[in-house]
Amino acid sequence: MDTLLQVLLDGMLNGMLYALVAVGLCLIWGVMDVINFAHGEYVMISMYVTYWLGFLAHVDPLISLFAGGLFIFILGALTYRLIIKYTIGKPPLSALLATFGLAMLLKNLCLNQFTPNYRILSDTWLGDRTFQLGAIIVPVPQLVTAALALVVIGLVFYMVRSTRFGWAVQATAMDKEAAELMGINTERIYLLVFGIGGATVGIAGGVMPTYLAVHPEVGTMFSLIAFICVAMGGFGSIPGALVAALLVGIVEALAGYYIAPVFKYVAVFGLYLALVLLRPKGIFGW
Amino acid sequence: MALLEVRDVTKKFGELVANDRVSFTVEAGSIVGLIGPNGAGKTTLFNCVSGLYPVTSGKIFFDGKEITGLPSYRIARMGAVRTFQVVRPLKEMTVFDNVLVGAYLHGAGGAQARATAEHSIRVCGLAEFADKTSGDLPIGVKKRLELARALATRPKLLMLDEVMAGLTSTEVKTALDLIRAIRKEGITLLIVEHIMEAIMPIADKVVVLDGGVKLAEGPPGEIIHDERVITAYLGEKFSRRMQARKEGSNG
Amino acid sequence: MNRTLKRTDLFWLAFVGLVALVPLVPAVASNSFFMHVLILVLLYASMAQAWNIIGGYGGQTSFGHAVFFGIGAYGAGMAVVTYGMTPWPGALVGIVSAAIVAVLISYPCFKLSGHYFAIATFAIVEIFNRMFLVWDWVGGALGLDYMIVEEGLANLMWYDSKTGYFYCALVLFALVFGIVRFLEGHRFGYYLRAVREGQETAESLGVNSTAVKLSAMALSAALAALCGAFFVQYNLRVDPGMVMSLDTSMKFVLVTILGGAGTLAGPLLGAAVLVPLQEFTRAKWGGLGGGVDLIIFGALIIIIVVKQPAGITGIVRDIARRFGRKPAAGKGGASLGTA
Repeated sequence: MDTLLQVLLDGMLNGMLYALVAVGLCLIWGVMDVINFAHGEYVMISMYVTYWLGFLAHVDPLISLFAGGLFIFILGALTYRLIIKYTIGKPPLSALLATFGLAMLLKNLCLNQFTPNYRILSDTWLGDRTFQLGAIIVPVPQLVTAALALVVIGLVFYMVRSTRFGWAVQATAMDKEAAELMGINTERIYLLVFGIGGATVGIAGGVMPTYLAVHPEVGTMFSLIAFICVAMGGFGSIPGALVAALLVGIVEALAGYYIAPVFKYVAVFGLYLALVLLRPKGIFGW
Repeated sequence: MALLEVRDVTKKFGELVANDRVSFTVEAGSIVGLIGPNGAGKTTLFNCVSGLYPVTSGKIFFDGKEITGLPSYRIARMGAVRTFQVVRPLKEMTVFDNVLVGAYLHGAGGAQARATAEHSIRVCGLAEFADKTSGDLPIGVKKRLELARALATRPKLLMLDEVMAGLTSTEVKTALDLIRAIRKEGITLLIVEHIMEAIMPIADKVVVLDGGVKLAEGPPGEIIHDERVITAYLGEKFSRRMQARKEGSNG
Repeated sequence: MNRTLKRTDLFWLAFVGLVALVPLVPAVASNSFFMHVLILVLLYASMAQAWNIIGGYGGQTSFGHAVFFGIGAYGAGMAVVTYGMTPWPGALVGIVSAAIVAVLISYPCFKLSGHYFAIATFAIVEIFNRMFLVWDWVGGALGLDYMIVEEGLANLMWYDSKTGYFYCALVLFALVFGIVRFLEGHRFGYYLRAVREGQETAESLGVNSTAVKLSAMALSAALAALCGAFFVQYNLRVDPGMVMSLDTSMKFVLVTILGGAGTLAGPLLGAAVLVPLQEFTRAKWGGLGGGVDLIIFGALIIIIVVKQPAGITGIVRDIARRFGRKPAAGKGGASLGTA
């Protein structure tokens, strides 16, 4: 029983991380119907930003995650301005392939500059800290990450639901032309949404070097899992993405422990297929 | 026996009743008009007959067989083909290729299908556009394409959904000539129409819908005098005024 | 009635001309690297053309073709390595299995729209990848390694020169392109494109869209598997990462899209430009372990997708237009946007 609880805890904490990565994509997909293949690479780059700040300047990830967030905000905005903008009117395949090219470019750029070596940040504030909760070991870095994720997701959700900016975003998402007719600068909305989506991912990547190794290939899986979470959660639904991400984290942990590590992702992808065939629009999709 | 029989067809969308126990027949070789004010349920009925929507209750018979609930491609293959009110050209394909898709339905091989397509294009006056990409053409041409494509399937029953909308009166006259020519080829026609001057002169029978219910069914000459039809189209007050005037002139 | 065939006939003529010249190549080329590139061009062109059936003409973007490619490769590979036979029966089993798997997978997946469908195909590749990694019968993570067998067509194996492989690749290419060319001009091709342009509209004209899509998928998968069988015979080994991976799936998609989806020549143009680019940049810079070739490749993808969604055929069409030739609307064009 204790093992089960441990596995569930680890799964949920991991799921929260996935949720943080997914919420940015959810925003982007929900507003402009674009699947950003380079989403995982954003995570990877932010991890490197934090790593180098930590390694060279001894800045702790808890501080440098803001730098990571800002960096990816700019990267996201640039991606929109230079690439995505030109794929908007066209079939969805355009944006997907263009961002795939971007992912390839970013990944190999980092591969070339930083070598494929795994890098680990030792000596961080949260480090390897854990504490006991009964028979269960709670890893502190993951817990802090999960709390951070909750805060960020909550902020994004609040922003979209209750601020004037958020309403403009929703209007643009539902009907771009109608929004423009009402005086909303949809160009700017798209730019900011891509930036904000990037920033959330940047924050995720910023805090991860505390307990995860940094290397150029780390992004690919995050991309796929982000897609799965957002699609399962339902197009444009932030709560959906959160629920789906938790589900993914738990299923992955259970499959990894009780079946075999190699089946972690089989279970996750299998879950996606099963769910989406029963509910073709996702859990909360509209 | 009628070519098409619609029997007590009801179509509901949740609580909204779009068609309420509608029944009528279409005899082979005739032209039947389906008229009624906006929102009467004409296109919904079309969609039920052509298999695009499943009916909530009721039955539909075509050519002696029941077609209720069949998928639309099966119904088309049986010979009941419809056009769409908002035209749907196969955009990236040329006009000729569009019509060819229709022609392949009964055309045995490539050569015969091509011949059928060419004939259809000629009849509908599309020869000069045959090689153009259909998505780029003006709306009038697209409407003719919609018709030519349906014609190429060599249907027994051709169902036209508001082909006249947006045409000038000259174009309407051309369209009417085309419809008469189609009837002469032995094809039965069921036409949804809004424009009275267009449908009344050519229809053998008219079916009137209002608010999902069938108001009347009969030759155009009778229908225009039917009180319920007048009320539905012109309103009660006007209808009473007209009635009063009629009695006044009689008395 | 030939007027709408004019444009594709032009390409066909060019293609036949090329094909007529090409058998002369081995006599001229003693350069093994050059032959290697040529063989890869023919293979990738065939792969892309197989994908083009469902992805270009059919308009269903599948990222799952690596699975079919892999099944074909493993089919042939198992016949040779595990059962000591010639690869042909294995290839046949692979082709049939791939078609069956394709139908079984697509039937439910076609219910999904847009991005959901694409992601489902990713998911399927990843699942197959993991399963093959742990499946002992197919060699698991280590895959299958070829031992030395007798040279010749029976075993589809040559060691000293690449000439045999070259002619095989040529036959494969001619077969796949020939099939697509045939379909393009007959009812199935028209029905397939009609379904792509408007499924409901096509159905209103008597097209059984489900049957059409499933048939296209089965054919596409079978041909992809055939390519896989050739691949393993040329590569002399196969493992899950090599064939059943997202990267392999993307190859199918990228070569077709960059060449021009929904056109007959697109896959060939795409392969003819991308493969030499890939091989030469890899030979020149790839060895630095820094994937410079992929950096360039990635940038190229971005530029082409953004600037000319109709791919290389679109670029060719634009150049032709600029030189005054009146472009007849051809059969082509499931471009990423209106060309």
